[in-house]
Amino acid sequence: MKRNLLFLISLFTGLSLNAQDKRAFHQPFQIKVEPLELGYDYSRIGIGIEKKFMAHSLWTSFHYGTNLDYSQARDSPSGHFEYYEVELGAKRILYSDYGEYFFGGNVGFDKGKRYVDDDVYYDIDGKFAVLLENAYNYRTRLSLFLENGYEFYIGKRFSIETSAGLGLRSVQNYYSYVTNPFRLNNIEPREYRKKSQQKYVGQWIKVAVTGGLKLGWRI
Amino acid sequence: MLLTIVLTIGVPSCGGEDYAAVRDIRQVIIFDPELHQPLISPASTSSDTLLLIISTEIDFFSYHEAYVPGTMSEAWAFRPANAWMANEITDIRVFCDQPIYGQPAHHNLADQLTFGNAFDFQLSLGMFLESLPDIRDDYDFAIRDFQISLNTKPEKGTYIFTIEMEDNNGHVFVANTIPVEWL
Repeated sequence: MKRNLLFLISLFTGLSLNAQDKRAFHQPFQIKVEPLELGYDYSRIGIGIEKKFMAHSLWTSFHYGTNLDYSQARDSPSGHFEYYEVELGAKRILYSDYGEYFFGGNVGFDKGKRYVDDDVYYDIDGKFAVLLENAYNYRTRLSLFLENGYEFYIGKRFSIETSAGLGLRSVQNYYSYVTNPFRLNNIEPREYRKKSQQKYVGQWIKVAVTGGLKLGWRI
Repeated sequence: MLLTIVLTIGVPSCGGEDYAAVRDIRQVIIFDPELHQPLISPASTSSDTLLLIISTEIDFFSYHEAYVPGTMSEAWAFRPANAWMANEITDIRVFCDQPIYGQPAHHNLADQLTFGNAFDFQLSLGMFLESLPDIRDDYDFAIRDFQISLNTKPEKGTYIFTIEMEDNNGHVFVANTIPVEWL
């Protein structure tokens, strides 16, 4: 218990447990790719760079996604989809024999845009629904996560990083360029469906978890 | 035995739609009850009565799973839950381009006509509107097709009727009949 307490204190005071380890100095930059995102319903790819210091690192990542095959689109979005995300993060690094543990936080902003036709959206606060011929649905999210993980070294050049995190997301969902709108007052969703979140217009904050797998290439 | 099991347990529901909304008037057919046939253009008749058959355009939206927590019978229902009405009809107006029934042209004739879902069961406008499903009532086929009875033969002439339906959101749906010549 006491050891854990000291460990936590060291994390937050910036003291390194392995300050003499020089490996981070020798390979200060990494390019990291997140390949698992290609498996999403709407394939994404994430790529970023990480700058390592003695016991800390700063990293940034950019993500882009689109639906390559419209016929695979599920859960209502029926047309073209685009997704952008930027993340900035900082880590506290603890070196081990085979890699490094890390603990840190990141802030991210993403925006998704999708074309929908012959659909409906519900304004939760306004308590009305709008039938529409076609429109663009936008979702923006501001995310704040605390995360930890482990980065395995694979030789001198490569690494695999796994991480998991917990945080908050502020989500805003809205529609624009709505053609032929047909407003129905005093109508609310009969049942909230997680898979149809694009139908609910409004802004809300929710607790979220995150996980990631990154392939790293040291420069 | 298999049939008994199937009937007891049921089959997974295919789900339904959350809501049904009256979106427009799809078409108005002039029906001659004496000839038992619709009139097509050029329409002419000597019948004492004509029916305007109004077909509405209904939009169903937002997929709905037929599931009520805690009730297995609902989760395994044979039929999905009914869609609810997302709007309701609050007024129906009928206009004619010619003077008719002692009223000037373009005057609302609805109070002089009868409405219903069957030729032999007609109601006044107020009672008919009461019979239609309200918002959040189960969708009812009565809203899909109904009839307006022109139950008095007017003066000889050619008439075009205009139907206006208004919903609780202020949407006004408009449709015209083909010209009909009353002989």
